[in-house]
Amino acid sequence: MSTQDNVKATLPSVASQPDGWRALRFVGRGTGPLLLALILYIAVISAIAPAFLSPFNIRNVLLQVSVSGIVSIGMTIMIIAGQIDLSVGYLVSFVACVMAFLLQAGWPEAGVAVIGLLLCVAMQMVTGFVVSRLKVEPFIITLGTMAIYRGFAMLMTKGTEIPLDGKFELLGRSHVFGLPTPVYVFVGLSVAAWFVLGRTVFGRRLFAVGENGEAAFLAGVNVRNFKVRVYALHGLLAGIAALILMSRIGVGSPTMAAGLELETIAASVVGGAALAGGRGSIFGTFLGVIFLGIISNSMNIIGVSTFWQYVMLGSVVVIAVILGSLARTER
Amino acid sequence: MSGTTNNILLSLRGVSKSFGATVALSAVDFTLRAGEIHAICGENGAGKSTLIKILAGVERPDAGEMIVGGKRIDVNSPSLALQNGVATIYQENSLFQYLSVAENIFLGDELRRFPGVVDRRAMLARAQSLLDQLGASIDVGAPVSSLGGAGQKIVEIARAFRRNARILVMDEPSASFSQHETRLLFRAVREMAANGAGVIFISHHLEEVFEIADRVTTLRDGRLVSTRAMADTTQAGLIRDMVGRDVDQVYRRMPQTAGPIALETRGLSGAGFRDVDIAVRRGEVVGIAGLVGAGRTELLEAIFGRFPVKGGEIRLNGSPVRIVSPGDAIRRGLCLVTEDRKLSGLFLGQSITANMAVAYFSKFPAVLDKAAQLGKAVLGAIQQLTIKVTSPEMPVSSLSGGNQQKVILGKWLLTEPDIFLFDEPTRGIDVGAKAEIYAEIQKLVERGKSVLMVSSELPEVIGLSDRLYVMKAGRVVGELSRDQVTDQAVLELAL
Repeated sequence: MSTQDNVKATLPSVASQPDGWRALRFVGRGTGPLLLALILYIAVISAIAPAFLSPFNIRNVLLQVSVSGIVSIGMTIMIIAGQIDLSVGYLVSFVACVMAFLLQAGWPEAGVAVIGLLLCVAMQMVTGFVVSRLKVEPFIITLGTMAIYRGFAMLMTKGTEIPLDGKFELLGRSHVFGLPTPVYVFVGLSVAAWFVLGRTVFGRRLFAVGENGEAAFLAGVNVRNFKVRVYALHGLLAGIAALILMSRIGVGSPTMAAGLELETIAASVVGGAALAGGRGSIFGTFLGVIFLGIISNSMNIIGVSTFWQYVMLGSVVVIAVILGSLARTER
Repeated sequence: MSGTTNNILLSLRGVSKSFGATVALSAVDFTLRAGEIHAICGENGAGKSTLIKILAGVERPDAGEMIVGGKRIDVNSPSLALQNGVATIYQENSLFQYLSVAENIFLGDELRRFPGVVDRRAMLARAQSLLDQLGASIDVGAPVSSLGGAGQKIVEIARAFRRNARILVMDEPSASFSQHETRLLFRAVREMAANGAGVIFISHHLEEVFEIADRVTTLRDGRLVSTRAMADTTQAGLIRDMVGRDVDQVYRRMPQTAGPIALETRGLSGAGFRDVDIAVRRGEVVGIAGLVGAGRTELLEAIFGRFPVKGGEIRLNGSPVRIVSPGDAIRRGLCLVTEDRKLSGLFLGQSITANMAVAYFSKFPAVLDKAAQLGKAVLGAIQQLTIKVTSPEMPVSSLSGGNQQKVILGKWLLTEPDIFLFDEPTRGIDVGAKAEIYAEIQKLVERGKSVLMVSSELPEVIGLSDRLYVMKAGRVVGELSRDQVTDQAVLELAL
């Protein structure tokens, strides 16, 4: 007891941190400006187009972002670990095609779902294994696996879609208390990931490995196996996203999730993750996902063409990266 | 030194600089004569870095004047400093590793045959003659990455020479060099001085200062303490000036009665070392001296499981063990303070807590980050080691070198090890922080811990060790007890 009092006496700022600040700790370091920008944007948009704030539209935005949101969680974890995955869009597409194929062949839904998840985890683990043992750049390896998944998906489907014919609707099309089920999955997984990163030893190690792999190794972390676990976790999240996406759209298509890698990397980066590794937060990514979703949704409402939406999305990412870099050099 | 007192290249008068509320320099006077090598000493935070930055034109003084070549100048950019003949060579080298030596020397200022056409041959010849004048035999066509540390520094000197720099500022140029490399570097520095340039030499290595400098200026807390001719001063006097108190035998520690053998190697071989037999008792500090490249670091890292052992065995408390990874070593009660804290010791952008947490959980596995327990342990380590911070959530990048080193020591104390492996425990930290690290080592052995320490600083390794092994070319070539050990005895074995 008395030693603790001593500690407090020598470290005044620890003890005297205002409680309000502590309560805000869940926000994560550096997400304040993003939260502010998001609120400002919502204020401006709802002034221009009041329809934006209608319950129907809010529900719509949440549903639209849930698939990329789930994958963004995995991508953020990858980026914090100093990794990146360009293949995830076609991995999701490919696995959805496999599942659709099996469903069409009459396999039971639960079995197909398990196979889909395992397939995603297994393929990511193979990538993780190659990256961590052979010390090759994940950027190049996943560029390669992206092409491979794309090719397999095309070969399987001969370039067309595989319809589900009304099967497997529960996950993507059902509602609970008026909100689509995928929204619950997204929010639930976000909370779980926030807990894992902020409150577990896995989280501690994740940031350590991403910041300085050598130092992490010398501090007793089996860095190679750890990376494989990170890939596996990312694969599991991609698998869940594949299930939801397939269920929502009602088909398996070889290009159904094309571009997902960019959306999710963008959301992570807007949320404060640094591609150099060691930095990023789930709450930031959550805001990033919502922000990007709101931008595209609001542009649709106002009637801005898709082409301009790309320009807008791209600009947000670039500005976020520049602001992040400025904030870092300030320190 | 030519002895001409009126041949002054540079003088600073009453130079002051503050950053916010922190006074970095306060009314400092300084003169540099032609042909002189002038060392600047001081603890971290004494104002050396600020002084360098002002000379280099990176920072502008708040008050005072800088006089170069008899005229008062206002240097507000690095290029202006260079135009005034002041070249600065920083601790981190600024060369392009994949360009050749000659290309580096002439970068941005190439010799041309016609406008836009580089005269390669002329540059090679001129570069060669510059390096010859500096007494260095370096292949000017080779890429810089093929040179050792000293070679690279010499290339930087040649670049300054080529730009007709009259004043050369060198910040810790030999921080990680072997004695041989240091000798090569010093030769080039002396040649520059012999050519009439003035050299400002910043170093933590007091022996080097005594070897190369003509005069020494000491700073403390941003103020000028003294400027002395080297011949009129002693190491003890210099240390007194730097720390402001008598540091009576900084390196000496009380010998300890040693217990049973805690760590032993028998015929241990691995990459970089062969047939190594050493033993460390409980309550004992054992040093390993030798040149850089003698296999000392490799030995420590192999014991710690960083690299595989090829032959022989490691024994802990008498029983043979196989240590397969650093994690395994940590669980068996070992720890390793590495040579390069930024490269392999710290997570620079992260908090003190985060830096200490990873090793802690390697020793005491857990799923949940037991924040309360960890926080208490971290605060305890911060207190015990008097790490100067306002909060354990401060990023370690904001700490001084000495405090960073203490964070690393604290990280290991949390794992409650029995055997401490230190690789250059006080590299690049100031005398005050050194003394504190030594005091911690003393406390460790008093508590019955074992310390195996590699150090290239002879006074350190000799003063601290109860016993000393000397390594050369991967083998242990001698063992010296406390009463046998002298500088000369160590060097005779090591060279």
